[in-house]
Amino acid sequence: MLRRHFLPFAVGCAILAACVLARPVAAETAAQLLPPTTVAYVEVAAPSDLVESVFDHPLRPRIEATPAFLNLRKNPEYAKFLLGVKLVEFKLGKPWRQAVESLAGQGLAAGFDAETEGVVLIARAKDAKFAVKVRDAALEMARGDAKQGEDDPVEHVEYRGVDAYKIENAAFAVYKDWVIVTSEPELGRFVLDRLLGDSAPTLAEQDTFAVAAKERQSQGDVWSYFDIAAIRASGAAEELYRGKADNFAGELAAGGVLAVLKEASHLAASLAIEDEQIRVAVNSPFDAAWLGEGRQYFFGPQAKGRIPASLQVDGQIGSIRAHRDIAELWLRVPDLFDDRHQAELAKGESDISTLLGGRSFGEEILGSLGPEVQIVVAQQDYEAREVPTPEVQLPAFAAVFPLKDADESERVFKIAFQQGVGFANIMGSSIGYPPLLLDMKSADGISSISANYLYGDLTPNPDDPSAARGARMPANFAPAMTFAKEHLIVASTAQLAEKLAHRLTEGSSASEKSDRTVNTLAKVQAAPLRAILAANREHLINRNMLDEGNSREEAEKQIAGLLTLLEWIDAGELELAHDDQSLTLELAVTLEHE
Amino acid sequence: MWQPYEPSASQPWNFSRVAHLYRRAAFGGTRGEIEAGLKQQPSEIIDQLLAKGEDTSAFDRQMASLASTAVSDGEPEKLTAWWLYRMLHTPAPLLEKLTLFWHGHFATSAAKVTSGRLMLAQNELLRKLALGRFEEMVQAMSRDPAMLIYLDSTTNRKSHPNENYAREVMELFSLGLDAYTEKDIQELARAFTGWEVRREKFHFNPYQHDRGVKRLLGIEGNFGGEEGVRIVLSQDAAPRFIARKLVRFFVLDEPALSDEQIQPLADDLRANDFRIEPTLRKILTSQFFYSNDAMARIVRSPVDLAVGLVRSLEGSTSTTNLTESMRPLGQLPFYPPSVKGWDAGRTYVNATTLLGRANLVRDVVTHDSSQFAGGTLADLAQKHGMESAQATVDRLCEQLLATPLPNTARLELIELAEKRRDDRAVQLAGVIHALSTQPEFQLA
Repeated sequence: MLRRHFLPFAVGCAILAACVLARPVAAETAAQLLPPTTVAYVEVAAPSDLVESVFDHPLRPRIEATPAFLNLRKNPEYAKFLLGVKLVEFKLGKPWRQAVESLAGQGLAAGFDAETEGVVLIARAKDAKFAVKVRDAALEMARGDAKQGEDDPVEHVEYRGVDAYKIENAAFAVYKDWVIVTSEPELGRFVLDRLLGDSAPTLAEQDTFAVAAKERQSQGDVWSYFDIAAIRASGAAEELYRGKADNFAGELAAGGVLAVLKEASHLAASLAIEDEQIRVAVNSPFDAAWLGEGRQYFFGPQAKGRIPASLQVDGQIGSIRAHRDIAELWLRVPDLFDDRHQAELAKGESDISTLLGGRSFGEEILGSLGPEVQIVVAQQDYEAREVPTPEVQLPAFAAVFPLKDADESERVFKIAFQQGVGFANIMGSSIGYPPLLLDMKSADGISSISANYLYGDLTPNPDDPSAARGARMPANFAPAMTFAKEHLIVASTAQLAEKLAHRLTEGSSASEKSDRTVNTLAKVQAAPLRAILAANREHLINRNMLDEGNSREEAEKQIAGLLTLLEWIDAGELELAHDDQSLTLELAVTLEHE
Repeated sequence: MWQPYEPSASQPWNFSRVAHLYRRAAFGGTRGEIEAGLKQQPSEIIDQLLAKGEDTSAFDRQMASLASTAVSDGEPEKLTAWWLYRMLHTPAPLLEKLTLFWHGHFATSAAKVTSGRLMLAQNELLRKLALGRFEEMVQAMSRDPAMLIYLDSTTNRKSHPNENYAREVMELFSLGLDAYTEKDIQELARAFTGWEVRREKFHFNPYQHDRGVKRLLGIEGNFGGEEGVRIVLSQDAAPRFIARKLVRFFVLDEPALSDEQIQPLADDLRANDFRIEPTLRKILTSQFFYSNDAMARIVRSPVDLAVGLVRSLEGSTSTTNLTESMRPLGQLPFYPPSVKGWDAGRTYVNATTLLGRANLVRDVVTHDSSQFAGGTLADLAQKHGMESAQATVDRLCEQLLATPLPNTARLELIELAEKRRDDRAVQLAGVIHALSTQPEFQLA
């Protein structure tokens, strides 16, 4: 019973809390009230602004018109939630958005203290009387929920003249315009002591917090701080910091970042929601010396490695540009990977070297590549490629690498390609794939070797009941290696390789100007991504039926929902950049709400 | 023994017998189906389970599209999930069950064939011919690329006839042991020479066919593979062999019936030009099928366990996940352990698989993708009036068990249901999981 009415009230308060963080007010910010042992801190400077950003966002009408949202509104749990909100509004005498403004108009913050293992929520009200009203309403509802004859569920204590209350596992108090809710009374007492004027070290004075707060570039809607040195010392996420990778792709994508996290004292993250864009940024201290020789492949010598200039083609879905010395990574396998993965990679190298006629994969093949890597993903034009449209349409993809010694490397790579195609033909025939036919071209400074399936081999057999759905998977591929302007392009289709080669020879690549060193930059365009998903709608529906157990109708709705979601997005960008002292990972999603 | 079933005081047409028919001839029935079945004749239910008179073309098109996705990357792993999906949602569950029977009979494993498309083509062939003439089925299997790849018969040259397929046609597909000699195998292998697979299709190579005179099972002539199959199926042992396998799959694991007991069914097959449907109907509408000698006399196969549970509870679930849960249980469609198919019966149950079976049940009833009666298990309970703990346990036992639970076990389940009455979905999941650990649950 206690939960019946108190929980909806708590839900209402949680709405307030979810949006909140304390506005830094002179000498009275929430950070100045928390102990220095606070390891996680989140703050919303202007909760009502955040509420406005979310609830008055131009996308809101479109979200509310989606079948998923309309279904949600029919859900009894949603009705209970709305009832809880209405109940809170009734008790407080104002709509919930005004209540947020009154209760936390000067900011809201939450923290986790490692010493007491307690969580605390601190709101600073614009209207101190309203804070008292909220407190009294909470007490009344808790008592109202209690069964007749039961003890008073509210425990009242007075601490240094301040009324404090405990209901179940939560303690709370209101002091002037401050509202404090905590899971640990000791933590609550620490906060009250500071408010009452006692002096003691606080989070705000903690060195790393001070550094993070100083570096805070914009207020954002939400800002947070994590004492990862303390989190590391506690033994949490030990696997993450042990320094030995167990996944090659994971190491390649984030090995350098993990090396930084192993040494960094703290992380700060911010979230900003605007009409046009949503941005999340995570900052940490950075020192090139932390990387050692092992992770030099990631940031380059003296952490000066940069990404290559951008290559753009028609129908580009996305690209990843990064500085990664893959040969260096391969040679550092004994230092970076655990024993099991070292053994697996050594076996892999041995197998590949056999296929390459005894050449060393690490030193001779990867060693001939420069560290500025670019991956491009683009839509396919099957008609232009003169192949039948396959039932599952995959985007074309390509990797572009600079070559250290283009003349020598071209010969080696072409031989490797021929051997690879021969091997693929043998393996493919065992699962019914048609054979690949080699082709070589050289003109206008572009030289290429490619392999194509013959049109007739890809044409669906009319006896096959699925023939109407299109050609088989191999129609997506015509693997190619193309050499242009001292670069190697390895692509899933010769068409994409050729386009990229022309961009290189035309010199039509573009570099971004930045005062920071950009290490990795990934971009995705939603429109072509949406187009390719729409082309595979039938396949996605079928996968959903098998994987989620849905009926055809339910699966159609879910896939339609996914495609609708992509209509709201224009582009996404993920950037990893650094200067001498800090490393930043920033995700920006540009919205499309026309 | 095989005369038509007539309800009597000792063998009334009741919930238990309708549920028995649904368990054997389908993958279990929903409460609504079983209750409706009380007003139907067994033959009417069988018509329903074969979707007689129903237009299933929309479902068939949907399944063809789903199958196309399942094999789109060339690998066969997703096919199992596809077939389980089909079993869960088919309007003709008896046809699907019979297709599973033929899959075990003409066992071919995707682990060796590796081509999803070939496995799918074989599966569609089995379904298409499941109820028809057995000879047509054997002739089709003899040309089926997946089968020929599985039995290493992709090439069969006259200088070195491949005896593998010829042996299995007689030993495992048509006659059984002791109905032929090694010489017959060699002669039938000669008849199949020149039968090859080229680019995933059957191909007859006339240059490699042995055109000499052969002597097979006492018949002499210059015949090829087709005639060879006809000669094999003309043996008296053939209909007896197939009738026995049908009885073991649909009626009882053990004890094995005598030749005399099987003979009427064999005669029936022969009289009907070896068509399967009339004999299958005879079995499923017989007095013996509804007798105590047949009820709860089959060990529930992993497919029956998984698909039956979901279908009985008016459910749907991720069949990709279901496939993973079934892996350790000893029966995974498209992956029979050998050319002999699944041994079935007691081999399905041991200490390891019992734990795995209970884990599968728990996984199904608690998985995020699982829905029952269009909602949660609580919705199912509400729909069928499972109000008290006792009603919940009794109704689930009545529907899911082939034989009653001992009272002590029943009371324990009721106590468990009482403890969890605050959350109906959790309560039902707990009871069904506990039920799945009982010996009675392992029988169909």
